[in-house]
Amino acid sequence: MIIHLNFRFVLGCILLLILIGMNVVAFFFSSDIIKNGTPARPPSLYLFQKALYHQPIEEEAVEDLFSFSVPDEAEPHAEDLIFNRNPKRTATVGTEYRYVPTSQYLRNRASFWVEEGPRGMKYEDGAFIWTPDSTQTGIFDISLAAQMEDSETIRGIRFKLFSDEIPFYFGTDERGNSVLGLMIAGAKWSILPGLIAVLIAVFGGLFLGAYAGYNKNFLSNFIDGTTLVLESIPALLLFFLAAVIFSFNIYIVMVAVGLVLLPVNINIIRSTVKHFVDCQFVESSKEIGFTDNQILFRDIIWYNCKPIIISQIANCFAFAIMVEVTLSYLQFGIQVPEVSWGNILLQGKSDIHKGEFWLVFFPCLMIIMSLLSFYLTGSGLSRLLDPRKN
Amino acid sequence: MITMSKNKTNILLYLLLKNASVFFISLFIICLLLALVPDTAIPGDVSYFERVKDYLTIAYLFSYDYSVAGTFLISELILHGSKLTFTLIFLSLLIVLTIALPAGILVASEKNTNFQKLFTVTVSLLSPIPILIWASLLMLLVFVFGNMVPLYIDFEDGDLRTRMFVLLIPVAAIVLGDGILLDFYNKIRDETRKVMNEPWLIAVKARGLPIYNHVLRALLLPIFITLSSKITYLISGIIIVEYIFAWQGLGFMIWRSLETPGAKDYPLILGSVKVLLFTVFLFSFIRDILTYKLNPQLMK
Repeated sequence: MIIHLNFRFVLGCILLLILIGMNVVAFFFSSDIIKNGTPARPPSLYLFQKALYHQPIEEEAVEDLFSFSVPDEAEPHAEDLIFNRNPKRTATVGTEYRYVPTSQYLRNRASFWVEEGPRGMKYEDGAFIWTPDSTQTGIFDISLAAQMEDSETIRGIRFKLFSDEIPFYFGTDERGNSVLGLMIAGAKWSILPGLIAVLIAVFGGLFLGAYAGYNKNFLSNFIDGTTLVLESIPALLLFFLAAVIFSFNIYIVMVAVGLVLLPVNINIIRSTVKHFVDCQFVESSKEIGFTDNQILFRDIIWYNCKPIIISQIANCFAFAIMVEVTLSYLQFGIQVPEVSWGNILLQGKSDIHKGEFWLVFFPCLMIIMSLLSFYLTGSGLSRLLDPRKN
Repeated sequence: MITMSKNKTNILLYLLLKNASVFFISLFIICLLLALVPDTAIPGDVSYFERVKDYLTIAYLFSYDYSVAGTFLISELILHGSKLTFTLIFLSLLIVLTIALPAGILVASEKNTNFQKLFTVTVSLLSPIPILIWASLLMLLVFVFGNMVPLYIDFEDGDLRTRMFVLLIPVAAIVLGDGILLDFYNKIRDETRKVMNEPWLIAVKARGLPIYNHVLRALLLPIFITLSSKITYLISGIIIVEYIFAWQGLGFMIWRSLETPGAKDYPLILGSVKVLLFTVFLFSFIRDILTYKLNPQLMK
């Protein structure tokens, strides 16, 4: 068979491999992956810092321009900003920290100096530079000042600089834990609990749906009625109750997730089987002498329902991940001190007014990535396995 | 079974009984599960069956009392919560239909236009992202660019502009999340395409009559079928959104009552759940009646 790889399948596989890799790392090196640094350190990439510091949120958090002395309006450049670029707030031991405060034009016409800062920080060649040594870790209050040639007003900025031994590319939380480490540690609640839900939902749905679609008796009617009732109860209510009853055990909650997803899968498989039951190939299989089970599970399910089953497996996995994250977010899932993406997101939500956006942004990104990995792989694989499209 | 019956009253009764039985069985299941919830405040000699009996009495006989948490009547709390919850539900549905209906019809009417491709790709890419993520990201965006955290307290205290803004953020999360917009858009687009090729619509076109009132009438049933199938998802989404934006609606009250360690406010939980289940019942019942009313073939 020639496999026509499509873009979405390849992308989905790459994302899925990353997720599986994170799971493996989380299971075998769970104690080592969460590094510790300065609390509430922003992500090292300046792009992420820019997202927050372009606009101060609270008076005490204002770290933009301020004047050490009131500018005299009669002076030239009195209203001009000297420090018109935001400084990077993070430094790493052994790596040069560099802050270019303003444009070339203003740099040539003003003198700059460090008012308050760590040992070794200086202004040189148009930039404030500092290379922290191994003893210089922690949060430093930095105060930088400047004065224009033709002005007597001294201008300055104050901000906090986070210095650590390793660059925390995703930042740290309030306790100083690396967000990247937390992301990897939280990944362990994605695949294994999801597997329980998938086993119940997809394989239970497969057998019950096949039975209800192929036969018409009391049991098939009972399955129909049960699915009707289960579909009418909002799923989150059942998950809440399952979580509270079983003391927030996520594996048992995943059984409930599997049971809630069961009606959807039953309906899909049943309608597909019903569609194929009247086809000619089923009649000819009966004429040849195959048993009902052979016709149902080999001719109908194996040859014709594979794409549906694959896409349902992917959808159920994605749903299970989302349920785990949502329940952890609503404090019904993984409980602190265990790490889950939902817990981190909740912490980020409660600290959002402090400006710690990275605790919301990165978990969201990770959840979207994991959901996309399943959706893309599932839809790509189901296209590859569809006998009508190949 | 509907097609077999020819008596209108019988059909209505059958539909009512079917949906009401689903409602009562669902409520019964909730009572059974609620009696399993471990609660230190309940004396040890109270058996599981006694608890079930108590909850069934509360649920089926409307024997509500004052809330455990405060001095409010349960009915007052439920009324207040219902107002907020249904505001969110109906506003979300209104916005979904306002976007999906014209877009679906427009895309189905024209073939292979750039608008069609762009809209379909955008909606398909944005919709699988869950409500929780949309709500969190929207809150973050509002904080970064709007310098505020849009919580319910701002809705209560703010001026009209702030109120509208604070209301629109959770509604936007519901509209964009969990594929609700995508499902409506896909359904409307596919059904419009189907209707456009029907012989009777071609006859309407040939007579030079306006076609869109016919198309809209034909779309009413598919829209309501999608609506009733999405309503349980929507309610789950509402619970999440109410929690994130601290809206004191029914979902938030259920969450708070269940999350509280120790004594739980069972009458409040049951009352809130009953209102939500009744909404599901109502939508299913209207869908079934519409299926029967709008499809003359079922009368044969």
